[in-house]
Amino acid sequence: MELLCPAGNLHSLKKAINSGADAVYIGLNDDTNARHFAGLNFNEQQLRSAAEYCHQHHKKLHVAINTFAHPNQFNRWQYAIEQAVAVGVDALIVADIAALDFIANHHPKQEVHVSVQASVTNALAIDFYKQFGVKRVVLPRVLSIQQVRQLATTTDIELELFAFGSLCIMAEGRCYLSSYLTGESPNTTGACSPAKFVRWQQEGERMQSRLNGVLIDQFSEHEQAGYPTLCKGRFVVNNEMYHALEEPTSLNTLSLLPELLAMNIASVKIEGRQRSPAYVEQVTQVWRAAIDQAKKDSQLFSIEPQWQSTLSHLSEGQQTTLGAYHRKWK
Amino acid sequence: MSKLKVAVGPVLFLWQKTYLEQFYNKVMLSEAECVYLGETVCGKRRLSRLNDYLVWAEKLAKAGKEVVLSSLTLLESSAQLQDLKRLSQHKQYLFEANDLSAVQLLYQLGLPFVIGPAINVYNGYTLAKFAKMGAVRWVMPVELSKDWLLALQQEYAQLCDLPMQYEVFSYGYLPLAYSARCFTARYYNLAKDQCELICQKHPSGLITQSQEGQALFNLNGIQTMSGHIYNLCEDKASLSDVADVARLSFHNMDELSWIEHFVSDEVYQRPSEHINGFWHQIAGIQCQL
Repeated sequence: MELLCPAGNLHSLKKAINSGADAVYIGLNDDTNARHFAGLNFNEQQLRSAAEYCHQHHKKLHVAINTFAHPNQFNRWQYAIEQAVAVGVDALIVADIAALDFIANHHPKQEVHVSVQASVTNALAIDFYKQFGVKRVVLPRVLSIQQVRQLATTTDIELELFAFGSLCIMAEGRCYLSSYLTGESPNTTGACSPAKFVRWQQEGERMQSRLNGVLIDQFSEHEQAGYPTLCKGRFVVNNEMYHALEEPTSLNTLSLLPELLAMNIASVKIEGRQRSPAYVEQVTQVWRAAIDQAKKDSQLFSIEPQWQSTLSHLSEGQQTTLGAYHRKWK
Repeated sequence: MSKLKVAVGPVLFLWQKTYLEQFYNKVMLSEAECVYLGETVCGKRRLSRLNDYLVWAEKLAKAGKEVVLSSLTLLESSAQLQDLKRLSQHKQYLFEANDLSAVQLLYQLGLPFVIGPAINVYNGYTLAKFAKMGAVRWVMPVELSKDWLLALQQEYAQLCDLPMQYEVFSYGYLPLAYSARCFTARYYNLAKDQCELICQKHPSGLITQSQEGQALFNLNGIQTMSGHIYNLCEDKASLSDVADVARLSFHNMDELSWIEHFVSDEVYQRPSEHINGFWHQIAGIQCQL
């Protein structure tokens, strides 16, 4: 089982490798990837350095080119693909059928993984992607562990799961909530609830967080004010105010590790290319230790309190959940 | 483009069978040329079964409507794939594929299909690929605009000479997202596994507002919809220029008069609370006056 960690810059990438990641995934600094944030991601020179660093340490580099090409602009996605192939990245993470088709035709030897943004949730959809010679599918965070197990027994394609980090509760790649409020979505511009639309506003004793003018939440002095990701706001339904879609919480599947190993899951993915090098370092260390322990003897696997406290501390709202993997969550 | 056809989209809410039957009886008498039928939102909804839909489909077809059988959007189990296979046996109708599993199946069976709005087609290359697999019509993702559609058509024309019909979601609560979680059950503090099909209590959804009272979303089971009705009635001219079919999606049968407003040559005024932002390449919730 591969431990796949995020990096938004070279510093984070080195922290990940030095802390025990088997592979790191990154994006280029444009809207060809779904974490297109200012100050984040890699230019051509940095991409080359990233590949060199990973390969010197006998680790793998995955590059996400996982947004959808705009009409008449495919050359930008093509350029991103050519750049990544040229430096010898180990895998491309791709969602757009145009991009998958291009890679299959022009770089048939390049390893390709189907991005979570492609929203593949069943065996027949996996079959669809086989025509592009893909090796692996990244599953959306909507399946229960029972459903993942069923899929793992029916397909010969490698499966990659999100193991830890911010929790996207919608089927990724099929959510237009962000463009509904801002005009920009992960599919079209590579960002959900983009930072340029965020405004913090002190109103009396309350701190309000707004997205493109829409009030997403407001916080009293003793509450931690979270980023206004629009599905994690407090809204009103029939005069009841609550987190109508989801609490600000993070996914943490540490307790499922023995099961994931038994299912032969190819890779566990840590979310957070937008997070700090310190986050990457600490999460990687915990997951490395946990995977090593589980591999040694999965029967005896137990979560060390220190792992849990480190991960909770790094989590959104300092809360974690098993998300959809746990049926009751639904 | 030729005259804009009007299609009645699949009913996205969980309605009682008798109500749904009355709805299709009314649709039969309407001027809509095309009708989509089937459960597209939640695999647990079973108030109306495939056999019921087939009875209505037959009646609608006899009344001269083009009938399209719509498939589920989020398929998460092999049981749901079996349902999809059962649906695909009714080859006398066109199918709407709402997931790539359906595209794959219909391609294997050599059957023509419509690409539904929750499949990610953002460029002409992707549409050309689907055309070669059997797609004859494409319903654009709801977040895309008139300009995007035009650009995509140009790209498609350069790549592929297979005929393609273009359909645009033009009226109704916009389907914006699908989740593992049922938000209606969450409102009632019910686990999804014991949901009691609670969404039937909200046959036009549960409106969610900001703390300032602004309508934001409409909760419909696992689907999150726009909190306002999307309405392109004032954009009929530009719709006719670039699209073949306007999809109207209803939240109750009293709304069916909108078919007439889209069919007639007169331009009907959009109610001020209805939105049209996506078509004009601005935030969906906004309006271009």
